[in-house]
Amino acid sequence: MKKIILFFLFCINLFAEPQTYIGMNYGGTYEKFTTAKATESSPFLNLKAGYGVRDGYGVEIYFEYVQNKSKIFSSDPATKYDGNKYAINIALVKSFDFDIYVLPFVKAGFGAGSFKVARTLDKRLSYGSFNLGTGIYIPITKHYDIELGYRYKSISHEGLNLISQTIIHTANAYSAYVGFNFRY
Amino acid sequence: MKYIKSLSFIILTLLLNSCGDNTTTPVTKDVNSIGIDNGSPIYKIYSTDFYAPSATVYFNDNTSATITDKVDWTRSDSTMLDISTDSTILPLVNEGNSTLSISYKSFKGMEDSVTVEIIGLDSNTSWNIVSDINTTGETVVLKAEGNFTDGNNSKTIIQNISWTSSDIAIASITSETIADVTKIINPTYTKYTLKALKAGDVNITATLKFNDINASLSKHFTIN
Repeated sequence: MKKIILFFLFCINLFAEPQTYIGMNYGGTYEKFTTAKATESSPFLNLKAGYGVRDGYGVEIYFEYVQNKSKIFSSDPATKYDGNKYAINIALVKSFDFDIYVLPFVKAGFGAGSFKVARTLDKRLSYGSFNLGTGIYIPITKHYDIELGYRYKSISHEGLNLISQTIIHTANAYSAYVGFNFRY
Repeated sequence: MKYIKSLSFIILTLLLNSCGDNTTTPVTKDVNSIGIDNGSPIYKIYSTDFYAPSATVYFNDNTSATITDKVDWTRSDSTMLDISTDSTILPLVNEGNSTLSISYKSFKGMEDSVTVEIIGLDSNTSWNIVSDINTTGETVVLKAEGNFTDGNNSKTIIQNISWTSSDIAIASITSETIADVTKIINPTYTKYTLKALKAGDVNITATLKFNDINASLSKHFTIN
């Protein structure tokens, strides 16, 4: 892991003038399960911190909060929804300067999170994801930019314990968001 | 500019797409309870037999599955019953009661128990050898039957019995470990076979030995 991070930082330094940045994204995510007939549509919020150049390479880590409005896993009748999701993700970012005012970018990374469920043998469910994203940065000033993006996640949930067997659910999640970044 | 318009259109489309349906019915069944052999409260087992119980998990969609090897088996009195690693139960006394329990990883509510009642032999002498053999070359499975306290007077004694021949040149005994394939976990017992090798007189002795029972019984055979 340390080597990967050092490799990222090395790549970033090759392109010079890296900046630390923080930001926030807000959007909606649509999750469709591949192992069951289930869907989830929820708003989400990202708080992120990154390091890199706006028109080059960067690496960012972001905390994700998803307000869950579905009940896909919980079996307890008294529970209205599965718990809200909390996740940590890390992504490598590459943006491009085509002299068209905006800066298109692509992102790739992975993450892990968990949420509460109300089941007989499972009280919290973890999940892991591989993430791919694209979008644009719209520079406002040297320090501020707006971010419009789209993100795809391939999600694999922790197995549900039925004693006789373990059932693992997987899903594809598609997210669109708007956000801003402050670079310094 | 054209690029921005296209991308904005895509993002707007995706935003609208993300306002889809939310599933509000669980897609995966859940565990309701676990039980020993479909929940019967009392098991009766002969003291010279073995018992291979099974455990079942019951789901909230009215289905069930066997989990015999996934639960922990315990008994209330270790002097009454022995539990082997494959959950086969062996009585250690001629008569008595013990509670047999299952649990799953200390989860609250994930346990069940039954009372095991051991039915004993009437007495040390209330059994007999029922096998018979009289012709050279003949083979027969050695079998003893007992009179038990529940009134069954022809119950085959399976466990804790061993057999010997007074003259192995006339009649030899071979033993073979047999698995009870009718059970999910196959308990084993020893099957003894007597073979008449040549003409002569021979005594076959059965020894029944476990805890408070220690008895021997011989039967004379004349081989022609």
